[in-house]
Amino acid sequence: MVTIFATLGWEPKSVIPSLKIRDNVERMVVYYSPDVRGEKAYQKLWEYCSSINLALKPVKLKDQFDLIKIANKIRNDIKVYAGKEIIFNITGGTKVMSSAALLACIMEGVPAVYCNEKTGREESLPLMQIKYEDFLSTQQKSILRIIKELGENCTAVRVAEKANLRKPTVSHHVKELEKRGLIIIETSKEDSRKKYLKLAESVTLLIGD
Amino acid sequence: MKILITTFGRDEAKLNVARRDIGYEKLIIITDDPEIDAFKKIREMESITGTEVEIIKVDSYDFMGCFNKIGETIEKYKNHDLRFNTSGGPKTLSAAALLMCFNKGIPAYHSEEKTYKLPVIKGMSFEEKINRDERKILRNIKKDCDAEKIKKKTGLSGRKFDILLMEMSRKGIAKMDYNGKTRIALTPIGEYFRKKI
Repeated sequence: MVTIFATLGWEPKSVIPSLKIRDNVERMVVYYSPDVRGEKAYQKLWEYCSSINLALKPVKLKDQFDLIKIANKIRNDIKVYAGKEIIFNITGGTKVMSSAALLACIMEGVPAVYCNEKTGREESLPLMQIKYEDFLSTQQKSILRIIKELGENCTAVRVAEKANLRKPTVSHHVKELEKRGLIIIETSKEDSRKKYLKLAESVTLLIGD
Repeated sequence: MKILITTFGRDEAKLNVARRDIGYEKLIIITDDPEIDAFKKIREMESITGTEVEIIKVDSYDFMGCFNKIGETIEKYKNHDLRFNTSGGPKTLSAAALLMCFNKGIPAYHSEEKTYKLPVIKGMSFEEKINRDERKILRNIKKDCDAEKIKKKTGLSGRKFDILLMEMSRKGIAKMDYNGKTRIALTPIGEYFRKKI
């Protein structure tokens, strides 16, 4: 059984092809904007789904222009369906909604599709079905989570204690993570020997809540 | 050299936010309509600082065409310090850029009213997740291909081959179909990797 996730714009026509070409669709989860046209499009889709007895879960987005908030919200919703077959149609909605959905799919390794405007057909997007955080090692993921948890004044020594790792091991990973643009190393203003570790702003989405 | 590559449609405001927030010494604009007046103005502005502007045309209705063109552009300038703004242009172009940045580990940004840095792991490419034996299989696959023939061509043992196929299916590189005999079809990302390897 498949669950179809979709971003919805002002018309449900970009969503319908995903329903039509699949057998055994169990339900649809749809994200729409809180304006009048978004509501109308949802009503139309609801009528369509009701006519075929398909469960439709609506998610009204409070702010359809906040990329990171929407991506986090969608990602958390996707996680609920872990282990089940899901597909995400990112065609509808504002570009921010669509990009946020694609980001969530990349983070969770969920297949994404879009409906070609010219042909009206669904096309798969070139995306690997691997959780993006799995490109990092277990120790690197753990270090990022500990830096997040420790917050300000986080040093490699404190990370090593908390992660139960040797200091040189942590230093090695910290250098690598810095090179990858995931953490920022700041020198203390009071003591230049002291280095503080901070997560790059974008990492919150990578490691999740 | 710091090069900002950006997708662009008609909304100059977004591009201007990216130009303000992301440093660059050369600007590459990927668009489906290079004839619009906005480019004259951008070139004029950039000429004040002597910044080179390159414009690349794509067909935004052709998703894989956009994806491949963006890949070629990144490849061409791979020895430079690249950064990518994915917010401009039609959704397909924007999505193609976003996917290619993650695919190739290129720092990516999304500039609307403000600029968001996207969580790309710099320098980490999707291709690294394909091992040597999987590459061997990919090289021997044509669209919708007989699994038995591929197995023979690769010289892999039966059990190992089956495990590799399952793993490739799990990763979303290939799809299997059983109709008397097993056939392998590549997904769009599998097809992209096959051409690349």
